[in-house]
Amino acid sequence: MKFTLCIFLSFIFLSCNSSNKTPLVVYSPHGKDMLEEFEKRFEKVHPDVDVQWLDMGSQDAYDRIRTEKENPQADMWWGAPSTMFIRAEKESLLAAYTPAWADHIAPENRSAHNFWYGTFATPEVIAFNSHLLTSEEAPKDWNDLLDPKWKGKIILRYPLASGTLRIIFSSIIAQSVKNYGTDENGFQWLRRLDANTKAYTPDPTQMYLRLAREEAEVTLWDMPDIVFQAEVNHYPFGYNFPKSGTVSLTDGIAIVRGCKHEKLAEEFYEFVTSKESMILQARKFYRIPARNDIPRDSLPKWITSTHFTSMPIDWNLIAQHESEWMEKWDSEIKGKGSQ
Amino acid sequence: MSNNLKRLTFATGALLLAVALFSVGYILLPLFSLIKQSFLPDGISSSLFSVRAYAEILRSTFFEAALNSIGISLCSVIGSAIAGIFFAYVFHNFDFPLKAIFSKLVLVPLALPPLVGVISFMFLIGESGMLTRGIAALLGIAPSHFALQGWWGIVAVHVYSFYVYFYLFTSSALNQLSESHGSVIDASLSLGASRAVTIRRIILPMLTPSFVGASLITFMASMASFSAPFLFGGTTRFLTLEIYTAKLNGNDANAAAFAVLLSMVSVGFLLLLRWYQSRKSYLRVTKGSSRRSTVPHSAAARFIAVAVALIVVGLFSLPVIAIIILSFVKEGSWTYQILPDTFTAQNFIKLFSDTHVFEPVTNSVEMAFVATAIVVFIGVCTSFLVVRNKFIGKRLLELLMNVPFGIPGTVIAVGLILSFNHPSFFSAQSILVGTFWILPLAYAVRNLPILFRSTASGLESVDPSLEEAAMTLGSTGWRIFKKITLPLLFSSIVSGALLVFINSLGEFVSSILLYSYNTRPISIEILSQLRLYNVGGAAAYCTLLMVLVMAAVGISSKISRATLAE
Repeated sequence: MKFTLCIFLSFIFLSCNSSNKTPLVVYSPHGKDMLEEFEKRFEKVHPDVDVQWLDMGSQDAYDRIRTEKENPQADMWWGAPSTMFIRAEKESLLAAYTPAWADHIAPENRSAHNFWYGTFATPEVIAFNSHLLTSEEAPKDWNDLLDPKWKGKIILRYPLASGTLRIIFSSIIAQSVKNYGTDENGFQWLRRLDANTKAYTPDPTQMYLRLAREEAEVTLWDMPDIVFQAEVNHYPFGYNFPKSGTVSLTDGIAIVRGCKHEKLAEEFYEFVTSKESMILQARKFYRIPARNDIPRDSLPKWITSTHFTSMPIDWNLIAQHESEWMEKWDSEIKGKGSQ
Repeated sequence: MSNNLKRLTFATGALLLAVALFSVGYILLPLFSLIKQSFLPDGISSSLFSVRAYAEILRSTFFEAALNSIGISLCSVIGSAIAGIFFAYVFHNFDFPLKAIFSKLVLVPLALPPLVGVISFMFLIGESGMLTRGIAALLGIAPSHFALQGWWGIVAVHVYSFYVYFYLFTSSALNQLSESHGSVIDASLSLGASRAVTIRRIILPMLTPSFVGASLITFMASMASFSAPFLFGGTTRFLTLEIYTAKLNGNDANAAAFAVLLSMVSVGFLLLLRWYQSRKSYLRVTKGSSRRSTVPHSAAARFIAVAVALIVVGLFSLPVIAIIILSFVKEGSWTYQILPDTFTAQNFIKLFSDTHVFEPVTNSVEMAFVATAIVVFIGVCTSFLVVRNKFIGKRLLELLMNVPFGIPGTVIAVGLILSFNHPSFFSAQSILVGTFWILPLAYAVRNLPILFRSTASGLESVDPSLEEAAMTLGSTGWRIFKKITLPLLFSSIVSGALLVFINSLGEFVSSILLYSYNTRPISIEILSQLRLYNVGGAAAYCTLLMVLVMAAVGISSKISRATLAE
């Protein structure tokens, strides 16, 4: 008994550590490496500040900010697809702020009322295992994916939990609404894709591993991540931009409404979206800047040599119907495509 | 048995007040906020009360998902019971070389928190796992033919993770039985009863409370399990996945309605078991005897039982070995090969060169300690009150002590946030969200049923006449508790506390919603590595976590032994 008590008390003492720096709490999906780098850089300029980042998926960040609405814990929300920020703006979770570079970004990549701004552009691609397929053999356009020869060879991230796949699926339905006046053709397309899909993975890591380990040959994912896996981790991955045009997702940044350190959050906002920071993020962390005033020659070659056609997309239509569409996909199409 | 129940005294009344405050504040109110949410389909700030969410889910996917969840949970209970009881029996009754080591290995699945277990299972028995590819290469068939998938994949993971409940509950009951009750077994045998009759008429009835407790815990854990269905379920529907899906779509009311109905299924199972148990009467521990008694077996039976047990224990260690191998594999080097071929210590070097590496470790250990302390205090008090006393609201209190384990961790976390992101009577008028305390509290609430079940079933098999005898001899309440009840219960309490501590150490589902920078636990660090696709780094952290769990198992058996020696 005494033994237990001793251990217990010593841990209580250990837990009493405090600091007198001002904490700045950042919720972000950008990953430990990038967050640590910018924590150090920002604290160097602001030695009295303690940047406390919480690394989590954008959906988790959104969930937390929503549940903490009455008593916000975060100051900054750095990273989520624009559609998620559009929802958050409607739910009054964000505080408006106009960054110094507000004029150097396309209007569709920012909130009209300054509640969020785009930071990175992430074009989606058809990715494949380059140990099994050459770029010629791999599907080159959206409709190629429906070819029966890919049956059981496509692996996808579970779309409801993935910003990337939600945008791809929603864009396909939005195209159908635009071209045919109904979502039916889009759902029909997704039904045929489901028939060819071998599995939906719970998280991106498993999608990567199963693709690399030859359980499947083809997936849909974003290009910067695929380049990162191929160049840094040497995974056997290649990619094709869909010929008829691809979806490009905008990743954003915002200040949390009612946060405790709004002034500091604004400084952090400017700091991580400055030209120098954007260039560093492009070079070291494989992010494509959304700002259009970054000198091309300061960006890495994999960005400047990339050319692709964009699919014209009605983002408001998507933000409005995304949940309803994904719910329908989940209850009526998932796993039933081949029936 | 009801004539043995005591009325409350001043001291037990005070205990009851403490326990009642805890369960109202931290279990009932968060549950209530969940129920409230399920009736407010237009968001918690609206005042439009409606059953729309229930109507929607009952019309669409509820019954399909509920049927699958219940089916999987029943299969998991049966599988876990077979494995757990078999191991407990073999390790209790037979002696064999290296028994001490093997008896620790049986606890190995504890070292794998769900997050880690899922990864190791994928690398072991997934379609491109080491075992799958190895067997495929040996037999010359495509690996996809026998990868453990779907329904049976989930049951396998559940049995692996949950048989420990049966093992621990049964072996602590067997220890209690033979230490204080060996004479009955001996008497039965010497009076000519066969081995089978002795087991069926004497041993099994005495173990009933433990089986009931373990079945309940396993059933609830399977109902609330998320990772296994998510990984192996494919496109089959399960209640926990439906909660998740509804939440992802921003449909909080439907998610809450699913969670409420899921809890009702668990409560239904609880009531069913209580009813079953109340129909049976069983023998209780009546007097102390230092003799350790076991049932004799033939040499052949002995050999086969031990051999089977050791082979299965060996198989059960494979996921741990897989994680350790993985922590030494060079990132990106293992793709089409059957087994990894490029090894490096880089993952560990990188891990330990991070100056903050031990912060999450100390955080997790501290929080798990606090959670265990809370659970031991509340759990022991409550089981004592419920089993030995009669008072109004006893059934409700017992129900509240069992329910949290059947509720997914996310749901408990959201309930706590909704209740404590404003000053409340139950948080001494402070805001708990964002502080250290909310995490241990969430762990404690979720794991309380484990300790409550293990202690209550321990207490149910101790005859109150022992305590009454002490009382007639002039002992007071506290002294009786300390000298008689506590020592008899000690192994149940320690094994329950160990489970609580380990579950808290690797807890992930509610932590992700509750942690702050200063309280980030180990599981979040593992997830961070995984989010960077750094599987080797994650495996290295998992190995660290497994070492901690093994240390906890070692320390707990030391405490157990030291106290018994006193």
